[in-house]
Amino acid sequence: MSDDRTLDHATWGGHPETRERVIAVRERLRTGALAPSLIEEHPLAVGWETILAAHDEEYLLRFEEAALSGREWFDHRDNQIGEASYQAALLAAGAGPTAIDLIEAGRSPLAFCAVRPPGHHAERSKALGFCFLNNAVIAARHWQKAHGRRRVLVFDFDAHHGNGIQHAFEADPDVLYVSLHEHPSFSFPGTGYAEETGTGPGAGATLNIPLLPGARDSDALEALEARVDPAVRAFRPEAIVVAAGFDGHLLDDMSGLGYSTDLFRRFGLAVSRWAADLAGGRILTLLEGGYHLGALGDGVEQYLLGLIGATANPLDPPLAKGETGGFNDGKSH
Amino acid sequence: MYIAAAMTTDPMCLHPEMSLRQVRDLISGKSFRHFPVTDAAGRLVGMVSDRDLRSAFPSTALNPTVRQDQLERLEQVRVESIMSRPPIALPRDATLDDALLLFDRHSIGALPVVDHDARIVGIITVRDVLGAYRRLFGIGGAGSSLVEVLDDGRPRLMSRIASALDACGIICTRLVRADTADGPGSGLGTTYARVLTYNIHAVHEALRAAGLETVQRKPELPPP
Repeated sequence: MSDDRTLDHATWGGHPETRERVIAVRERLRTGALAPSLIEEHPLAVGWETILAAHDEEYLLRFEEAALSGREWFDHRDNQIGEASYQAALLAAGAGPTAIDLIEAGRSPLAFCAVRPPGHHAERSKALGFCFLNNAVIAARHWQKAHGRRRVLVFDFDAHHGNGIQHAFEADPDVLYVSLHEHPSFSFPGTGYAEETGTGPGAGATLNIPLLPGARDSDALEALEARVDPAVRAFRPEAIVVAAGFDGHLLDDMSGLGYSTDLFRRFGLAVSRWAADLAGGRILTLLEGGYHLGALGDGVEQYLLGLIGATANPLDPPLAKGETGGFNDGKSH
Repeated sequence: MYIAAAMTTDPMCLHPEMSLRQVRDLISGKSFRHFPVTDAAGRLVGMVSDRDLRSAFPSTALNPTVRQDQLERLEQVRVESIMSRPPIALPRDATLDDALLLFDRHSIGALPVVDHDARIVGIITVRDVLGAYRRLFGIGGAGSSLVEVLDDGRPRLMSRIASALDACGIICTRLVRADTADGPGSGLGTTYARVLTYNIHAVHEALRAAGLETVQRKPELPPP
């Protein structure tokens, strides 16, 4: 799922969140191992009703006004904008709901949205960290409201904590937010401490796993196996939204994490197992961060290969005993 | 840096002549753990903690008849007999550092705050002080990153950091210098800059262009 109009969201002056990111991802998917099984779709711009589940009307109007009036940034200098940014953000936010409708109609079991601007830092009424509309929150709410999938897992493996996703769902017991990220004592945005586990009725439905700068694959895998897998299985999601960021890669200087490309395949594999065992194969993946173009293209491809189980390495240990692994036939919905 | 913004004003107070039975009824259902004791003029005369109260109350492990008997005797026990005195107190214009040092020295959980006539005006707890320092250091709010800059032994380190960031339009809200090495790989000392930006790449570039050495704990690339 992608659209050329999201490329028109302008950034400049060495800003890391460039249009080339989406171009790199698309090129890799169109020419790489996944090319034969690739079906390209275009998002519909997100509807007002859908978007209001995640943002205040006043904020949306303020954002539109800032973009159309030629302002160069919105809420913070990090968040550069151009005239086309509002429309691009609506399309990026629409990719999730469009893909979910296709998934629910049985069109495609796996949807990857190669969109920008990213979303997971966007708060209800505040743009933050290159994010304007919270694509993952909008998608998860759409899954609940339009298709009655009440229990949704949002799994976020971007190197940075998805403060916007957490804040949207922290009091909601029906959405489990799991984030694996560089420790907030050092890393942007400074939220996502392990002690943040949800509030009120949502207590226990937020799982933050901060990794210290310098963490490698083994640290992430250990957490995935020992902490994330049991939490996801206990939660029993009916649908899975993945906020996929690839900036934890060794070559990406936007974080202090040292992931290899293969870790993204392992993330994909884990997600495919949860989806097959618990969620009827329903997985939606949204691109978040990832700023080293080569590592981003490689990471997305490996993640997707893990997701379809195509390159499941027989040496990969199972995430839980007694499961078969791999992806189901996609007909369960 | 003053305690006034962090303390709780108008705290629940006890009187020295109250019976523990009355105290029990008064504080039932409340979550306060420290109670200033004041005289008729509102002047501080002592402090009672929930620990003092728990020690004075009969154990729930006692035989019910014995316990009931002891509970009735609490009618005769006055607050003044269990309160600590003279109480340690802070003046209302005390600083957070005053409170921190007193907590540290006396291992206590809360301090009463008084005016010039020793009349109670508030209470401040260790938790209040932690919260105030958390805000002071900018911990937990969304939107910042922390960058480590190594001490190169040359003068004006802090101003060089601030100028380099300022010149690139990067908002820096705190500069904290640790005189000793902190964490693996540190040398002379480390200065932490809290910056309000996600563009951490630009921060490292700006500091390095100014000749400063920043710490990135990225693992080494594997050999090709």
